Amino acid sequence: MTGRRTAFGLAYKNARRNKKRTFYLVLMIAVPVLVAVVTSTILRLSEVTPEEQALVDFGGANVEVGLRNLTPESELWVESKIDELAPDASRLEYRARWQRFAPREAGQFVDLDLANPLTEGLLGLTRGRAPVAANEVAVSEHVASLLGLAIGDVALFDSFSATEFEVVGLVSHPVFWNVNTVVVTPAAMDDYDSRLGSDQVSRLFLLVDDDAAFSYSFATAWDSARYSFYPQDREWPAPEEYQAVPEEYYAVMTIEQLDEFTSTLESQGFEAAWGYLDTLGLDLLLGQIPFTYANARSESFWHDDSVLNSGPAIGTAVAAGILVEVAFIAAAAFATGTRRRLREIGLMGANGASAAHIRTTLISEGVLIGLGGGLAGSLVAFVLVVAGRPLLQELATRRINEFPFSPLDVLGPIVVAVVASSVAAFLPARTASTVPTLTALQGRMPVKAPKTWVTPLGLTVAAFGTLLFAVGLAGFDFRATAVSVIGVVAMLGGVAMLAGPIVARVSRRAERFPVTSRIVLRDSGRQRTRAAAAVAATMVIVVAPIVALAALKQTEASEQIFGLGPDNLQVLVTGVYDGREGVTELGPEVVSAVRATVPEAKSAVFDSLDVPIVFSAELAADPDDLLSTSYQNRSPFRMAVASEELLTLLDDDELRAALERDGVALIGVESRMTRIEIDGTVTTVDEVPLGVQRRSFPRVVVTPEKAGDYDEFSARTTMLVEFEQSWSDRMNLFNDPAQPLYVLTVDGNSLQMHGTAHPDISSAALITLVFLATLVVVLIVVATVTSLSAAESDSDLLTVVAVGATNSVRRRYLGLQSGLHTLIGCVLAAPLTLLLLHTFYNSAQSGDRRLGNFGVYDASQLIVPWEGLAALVIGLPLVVGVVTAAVVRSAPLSPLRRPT
Amino acid sequence: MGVKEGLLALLIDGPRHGYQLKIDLEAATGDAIRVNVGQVYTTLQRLERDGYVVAGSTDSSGRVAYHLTEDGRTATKDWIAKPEDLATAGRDEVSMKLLIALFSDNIDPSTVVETQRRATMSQLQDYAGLRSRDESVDLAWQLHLDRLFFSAEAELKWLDRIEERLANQGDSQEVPKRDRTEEEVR
Amino acid sequence: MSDLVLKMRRVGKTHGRGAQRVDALVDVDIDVAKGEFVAITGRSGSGKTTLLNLAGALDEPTTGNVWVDGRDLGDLSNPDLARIRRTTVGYVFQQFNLLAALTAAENVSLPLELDGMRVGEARGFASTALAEVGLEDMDGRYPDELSGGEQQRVAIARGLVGPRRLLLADEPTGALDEMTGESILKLLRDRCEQGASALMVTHEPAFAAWADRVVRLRDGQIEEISVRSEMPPVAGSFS
Repeated sequence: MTGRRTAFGLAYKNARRNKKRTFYLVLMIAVPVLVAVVTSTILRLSEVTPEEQALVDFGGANVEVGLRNLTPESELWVESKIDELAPDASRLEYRARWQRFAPREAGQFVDLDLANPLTEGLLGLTRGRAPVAANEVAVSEHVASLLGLAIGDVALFDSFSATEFEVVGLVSHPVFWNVNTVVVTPAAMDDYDSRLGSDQVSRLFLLVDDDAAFSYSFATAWDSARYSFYPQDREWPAPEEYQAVPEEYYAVMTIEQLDEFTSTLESQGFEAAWGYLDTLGLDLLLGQIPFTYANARSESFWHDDSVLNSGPAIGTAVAAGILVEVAFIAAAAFATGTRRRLREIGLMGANGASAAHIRTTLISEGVLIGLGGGLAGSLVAFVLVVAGRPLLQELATRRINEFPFSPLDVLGPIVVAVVASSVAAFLPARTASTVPTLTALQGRMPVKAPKTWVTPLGLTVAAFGTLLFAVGLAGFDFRATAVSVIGVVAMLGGVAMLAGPIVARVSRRAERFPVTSRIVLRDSGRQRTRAAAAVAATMVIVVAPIVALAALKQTEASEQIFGLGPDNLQVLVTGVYDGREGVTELGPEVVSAVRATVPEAKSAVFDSLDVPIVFSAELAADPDDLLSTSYQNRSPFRMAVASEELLTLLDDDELRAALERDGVALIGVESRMTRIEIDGTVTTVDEVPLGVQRRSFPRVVVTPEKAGDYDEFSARTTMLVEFEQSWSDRMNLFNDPAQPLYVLTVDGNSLQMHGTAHPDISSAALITLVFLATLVVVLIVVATVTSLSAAESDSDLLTVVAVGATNSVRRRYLGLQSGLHTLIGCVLAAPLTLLLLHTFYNSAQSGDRRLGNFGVYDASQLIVPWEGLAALVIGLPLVVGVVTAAVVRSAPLSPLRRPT
Repeated sequence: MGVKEGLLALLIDGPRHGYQLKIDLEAATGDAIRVNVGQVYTTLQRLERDGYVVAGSTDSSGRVAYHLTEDGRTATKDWIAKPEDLATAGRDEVSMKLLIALFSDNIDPSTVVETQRRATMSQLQDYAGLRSRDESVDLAWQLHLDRLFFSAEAELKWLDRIEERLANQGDSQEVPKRDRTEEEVR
Repeated sequence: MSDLVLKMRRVGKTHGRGAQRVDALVDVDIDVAKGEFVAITGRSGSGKTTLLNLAGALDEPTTGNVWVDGRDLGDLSNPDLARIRRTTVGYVFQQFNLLAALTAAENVSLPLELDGMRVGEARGFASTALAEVGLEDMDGRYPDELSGGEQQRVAIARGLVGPRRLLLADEPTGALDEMTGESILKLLRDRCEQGASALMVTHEPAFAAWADRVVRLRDGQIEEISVRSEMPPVAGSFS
């Protein structure tokens, strides 16, 4: 007991004495803990408990009946059915209308009677009063804060109505914060209905009855009665062969149409079948068939319990992930510390401390620093969360109280921090405690050959980690995620264990290197713990860019689209949305309006044809596999008719040549789909890797003559506008009121536009970015490790200078050292990451053929980012070494002090 | 050293009669030298005979004060300036010289130290040279050489220490020299 | 004298300024001739090490000039000074200052390799230098595997390897016991008799005595110089 207390006391004093090192370590540990605590808090706060969820759904009632896409007949049917099934139940009836109330904001307009006790839980009046007159509203606090409204203000709530409403009350949702709700009177709602129609309106009935069995019996009764809502000549429930058709579609389609749908589905696949549904009519497309449902509150309300406590768990996992990295850096720092304190350790030994005492002292320091870092990080997190509560309410989308912490948020990250820090202290401590007292007193640290079991153990741990990772990926719940996180950590740890033996092996080859390199190599071999930790730290960092590069490759494979240059932005204008009737065609007056708004932009008008096109990869794919894939990524207009204007704008000779030769060309792709099937005819076309707008621009371009072959398909006037704009500005183009395009997209009849949702950076640019980001992080780590360990190498370097090296030897030494550590880190990271990715793609998406933007690709196949890998493995160590050599001080020439 | 050199050195500071010289000699050497008055007078007479001192006037108590002659002064300075050969002379000669120098106002002890140290170092160098040269000669000679070497080394260390002490004294106090030495001697 | 390996004239060195100003050396003249072994003694703080650093081109004098092998160090650029340290002067330290990562032979051949000599050739010189200090067959040992005396021998071999002729030793025996220390000094003498020169700093008179000339520094100034007799007395011998 006493021994342990002494050990702690010594550890504390050591930590205090090495202020710089302690500061670095505490900082390194505090940052991930901070991130973890904040993450945990936000995630936990975002959760909704089952009770809250029930309150949100049912308010004070226990049954909710809804009717969407109202028609007079359906309204009558629902009303009479409720009267029939629940004659005695208390009832709250209201209408809800989803509507835009500000240029970029939409919300629900409801004619809810706030005085009715059943609204409790749905909405509560927090200030003012409920609206009484037709021009009065109560708005939710979120709406009020968005629009800057207070009670008494007058506001025009949407661009389609001329009514000015006066805000008379504020309402709030007991659980959620970001609810956009405007409470109006029934009279005002009637006015909306009469002017705007009832497309976007739902009718909702909340029912409650004293009978305990009411909700169950009502739900059962409604379920058996609801079929009679649909036309009587249909067989209910739907027969097996039509199961793929949504219920309301089944109700209104003819048998012939249904058969056509199912046969298309079987022969041509999912997409073609949906394409067929598209052709049936606007009503179906917009989903305007009336639809009714009833939800009953029950004790066994569905809720994923495992999600409930995921916040702290994920926070802890985040902390664990980052702290793996920190642990390696910290290990390097601790290794330095113990080596420098060797004489002290010897003194302790000489005064009767056992190996265990020494170990305890060193590990205690790790524990103390971990605790310090954990507490510091948590403290800052508290301050941040409390100060950032308004922002957090937006992020977490729910109301957050004054002190929104749970001990769980803090406990996990702190425990992980302490564990990581003690583990980091453990290895050097173990090494140091085994040094014989006499040797330690002499300040020597004997170099032992690495244990032969380290390599096999490391490989085994890595293999086991891989297994865990794969197993974890197969599941979907939180526990599975935890397993895969542990798996990844084990993989990192296992491969990191190889760093020591590799460093030892490399240092044994030092013989044949020039003298400075030889010293660097031998030193790394001698100070294996520190070198291996530095290597592992680099390795963990380098994993991230390799994953990013592989993901980039995967994205490129799925999209097969060449991005635009970083200074280019194309916007595709495909139609005009009038707010009610849907999208109409682009008229000449709109085209000239766009050109007048952005006169500096180049633009071209062309026709796009909705011709079904299947690409060769899809032809080869099993249609069943495609059922699960997303249909929505495909643009309905797949063929651009090459007007002279368009060709001028695209300005590509290769495209012109291809069109002249074949009359048809594929753009935005390369070396993938040499064959396409246009309207049932398989054609071979030339591919032109020409940068075009990523998501929506038609991939197939035909000459006007060739377009004549497809005149039975619907055509649409489309406009391509090209801006010269740096990508960082792009997101502002539509959203910033100061931008000219903003006016066109939001004002009255708004343009349907397809901008590029994310920056189109060329992959070369992305690789460069990733490389630079990695470089910065690696340099920070190298700087940390180097600055902590420089004192140790400096005495040797002074000797080398005294023996006749120029002072720049320090630059060379530190440059070579950081380069060497980075190189080994990269060399370890490359196979590790490939294994990680291979496992990921194999287990998570086994055999998955996915529909990309432009045909099918094999999602389970890992595409190795060779260029990026090469750039990292060769370039990174080089640059890190050169930068280190450039920024460190050279050895001082000043008098050489005798070491004391 | 003999009583002779001590008396001459004391007389550098000024004429003194026999009994005073006896007291001062005993005080300066820390009673290392004890003489009776008769011995002092015998020595003084011998010095007078050799022409190093002359007897002066007699005072009221009938005591005769002795002065240094020019010859006496030269002989005394030569003695002070001459390093002692450790192989032949004992260390007492050096210490005596130093003690007298400390006692005296007119003799700088650090000069004595420097002179002696240079000589001793030179001797030490000679011994070191002999030791390195004659690895194979007989053991007795080696042992003798070692003895000479280490006593010379001890002498040097002692001289270094004296120098340090002198420096420290000079740094710490601004006390008249005679008072200090008298006090130290008692 | 043309065969002066080291010549210092009116050399002064001042550290700091204002109230912190310390005159480490004042107007020092020192010569080391070829084959001469010179020791510098003095109390700590007397400027011994500063003098050594100036001689070794590790530091620049505030005033005065230092010539090594006839070249004025003040005229030389940093790379040239480094070259001097590689080819002309060798350092020996109290704590040996061998690179733990290198073997004995590698430590010795370090200056030669730094000077661009091929590894094989440099290793040959190193073996010779090690043999000269009595360390045959120890080429492959690491410093950890050597005793203190052996390590210092390696350091001396490094200081005198190849073309190097001037050894600057800073308390080379300070970390050694007396017998071992003496053996190191005998070695130094021996090397000087074979044509090398050495300038050694020590505060121990017994060690300084091994030199041909002993220069005593006090407060940055030369206080006294004692020279070994040309013919050491043999008197007193029992034989």
